[in-house]
Amino acid sequence: MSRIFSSKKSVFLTILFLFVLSCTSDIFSGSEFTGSKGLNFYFDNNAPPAYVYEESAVPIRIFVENTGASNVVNGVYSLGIEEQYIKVDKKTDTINLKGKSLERPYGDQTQIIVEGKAKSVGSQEGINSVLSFSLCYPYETKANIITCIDSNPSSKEKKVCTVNPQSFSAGQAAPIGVTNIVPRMIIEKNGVRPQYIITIKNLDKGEIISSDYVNYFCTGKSIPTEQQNVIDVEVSLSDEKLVCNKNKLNLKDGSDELFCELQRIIPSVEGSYNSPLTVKLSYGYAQTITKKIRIESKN
Amino acid sequence: MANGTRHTGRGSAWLFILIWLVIFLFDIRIRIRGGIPLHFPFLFVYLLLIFLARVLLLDESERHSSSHYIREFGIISLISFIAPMANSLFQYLPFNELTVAFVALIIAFSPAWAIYLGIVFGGERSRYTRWIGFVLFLFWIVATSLFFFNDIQAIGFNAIYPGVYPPLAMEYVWDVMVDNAGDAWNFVGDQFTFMWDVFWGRIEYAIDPHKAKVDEMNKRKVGVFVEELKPIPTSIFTEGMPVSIEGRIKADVVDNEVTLKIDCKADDKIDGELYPLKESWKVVRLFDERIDCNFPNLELGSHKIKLNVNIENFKTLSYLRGFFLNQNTLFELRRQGKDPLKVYNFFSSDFIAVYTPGPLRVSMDIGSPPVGLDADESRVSLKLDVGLTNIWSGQLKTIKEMFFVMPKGFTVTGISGLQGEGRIIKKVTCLDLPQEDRNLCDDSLEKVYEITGEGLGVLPENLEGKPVVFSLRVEGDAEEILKDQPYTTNFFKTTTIYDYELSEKTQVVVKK
Repeated sequence: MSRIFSSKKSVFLTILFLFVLSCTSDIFSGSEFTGSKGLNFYFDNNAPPAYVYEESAVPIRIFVENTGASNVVNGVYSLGIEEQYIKVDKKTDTINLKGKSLERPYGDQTQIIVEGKAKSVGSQEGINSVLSFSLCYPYETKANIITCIDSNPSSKEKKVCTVNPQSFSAGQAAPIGVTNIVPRMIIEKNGVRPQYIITIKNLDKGEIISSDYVNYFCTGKSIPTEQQNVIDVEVSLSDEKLVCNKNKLNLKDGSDELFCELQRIIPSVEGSYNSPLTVKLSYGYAQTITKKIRIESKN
Repeated sequence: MANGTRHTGRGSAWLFILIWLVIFLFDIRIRIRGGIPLHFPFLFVYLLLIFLARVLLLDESERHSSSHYIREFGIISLISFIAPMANSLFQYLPFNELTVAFVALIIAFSPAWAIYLGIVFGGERSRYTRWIGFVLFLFWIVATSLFFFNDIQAIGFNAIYPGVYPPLAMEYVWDVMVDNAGDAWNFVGDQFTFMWDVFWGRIEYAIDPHKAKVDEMNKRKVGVFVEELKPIPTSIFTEGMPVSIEGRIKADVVDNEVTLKIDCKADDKIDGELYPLKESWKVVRLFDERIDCNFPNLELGSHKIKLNVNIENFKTLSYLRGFFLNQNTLFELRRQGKDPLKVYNFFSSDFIAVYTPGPLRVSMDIGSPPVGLDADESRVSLKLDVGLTNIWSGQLKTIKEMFFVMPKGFTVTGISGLQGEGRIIKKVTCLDLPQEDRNLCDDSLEKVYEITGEGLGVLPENLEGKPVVFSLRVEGDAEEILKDQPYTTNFFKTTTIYDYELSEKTQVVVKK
């Protein structure tokens, strides 16, 4: 009996936990949307097929969808082939895809279709050829985090909210995301000055390049070191811009921290209240996928 | 335990046996799997085992008693050491046709000695235990006599005799040993030279000539093979009777026409009469012919009969995939601790040269992948190492043509490692390649180079006995190589056409 009770109890607690989780998704994501990808792209399972015969058609199809919440304008794709064994009708083009928004629950999707042809492999038994597909695109992360402002921390009155560090594991519908903020209310004169330590992380597997230079990656040009892993950042609290210790982040080790504070002092009479902290990150993102195919000899 | 010295115990004996068996079984496993024979490293391992045995099996006084050590322990250990090496040397000899019984005996001999050593020298010493060694040795001698000579007679003379004739068998063994000891010696020498070059950092000569894999060619058995060479009807002929041998020649070629010229000789001086008699044989695709060779008047005694096949215009193709990446990107990936191969979904094995089957192995190496290119530099200097190794037992007579097909963006500026004077490599076009390779080449995507006659003239004498390695000095145009891509992979190819001489031997006896 006790076992049944305990089992019912655990089911109830699980449902309750999930309910609470769904109601408070913001505290895990920090945005209207979650996810850690910008453009998601992959080769069609059968195009190119895993095996093709020499001197026969090699259809290539790549699905690209914008799973993030930012629009991609003038992104560049580049199809890499081993020209000595495959020829294709086109290798590079620009790409524009709208991201998801409250009005559009799904971002744009497209297919890139390329006609290819396998060349002769001669008398060899066949060759494994590698196709690569790279996408380079400018992107933005907009993290809207509800944060607590307590203008009178020493007051014993009942507060609307409490000032606590927040972590976000689910991303903000972009490959770069805010993963942690540590707020501090610094008491000054008749009020407080809010300060934040914000941690930004590369949540996907791509390369970060400044948005002005990101297309260089897909065109094989040299990217200056100072343009790699660079992100432009803007932080505001209720539309009021915060002053940060840097306006460019460097994610060379995969993550970076930022210190920001409000310029003015919030008077203590305002009490405690929730306020949106907006972190806007602008960057370029580049990623490559590959697929191996076997070109078989007809002999 | 005399004089208070520590006596090695049963535990150390078992430890020795265990270590020995692990090494031995590992050695056997590699041989059975048919990988590159590891004679050279194993030679050291077995030698080390002798010293290990000394430490583990002998007590303090025995270790310092030189007479005892040399007389009993040393000799026994040496025999134990020679057995597995003999087994490996047999790979060079035609003994792979030996019966399972004899091969099993050879393989069992070494661990049997190791166990014997452990029993006799480890733990309790007893004069009786030496009898175990004696019985074991006696057993091996008897078994060898029964199996070995019988097998050799059957292999050497293609006949099964009712009795064992050790002098006849040993005459054959001696001939084979003399002929093949050179091969074994050269192999060990090559290994040593290679290790020496690596050790002294002579990187330009340290390209591993074995670092290439063979193209399976859709299971086609490409090459020229002399099979079933044997005297008919038996290997023993009576005086005045014509001596006759028969062989089967099988061949398949890559894609070009190959010419075979066949002759046979007794004792390297008496020409035989061939049937069918043809000046040359053309091989376009699968070739399978039986050849008879007759000697009307051979003198009394044992004769070595050699069938020579001169292969003209045999072709070996090889290719190597190169992986090129913008240097800044490569630097950034490495700085972040990422493996570029993993990032772009490659394996190291994707960048090993592949060559078509045949007597010549053509290996290539353009540096550890990926090779970083500075896109801001107009020209990047690279080096393509090429290794040529004669991997069959015959003789490479001459290399007639050698072409290099470089992907677009790469220009050959010279060769290092070949001693020829003047220009030994020149730029040609796809049209200069052999007819059958032209449709695989595209002048708009590739550049073709040919080693000139002067350059080729240097190769054959170098190729006798050891691999030849030379380097193509290459200039790369980073912009053209990366051609609007984050990285590129492309192929370096070679075509080599050469003449090769293959010989197979058999033995006959002419009696009164």
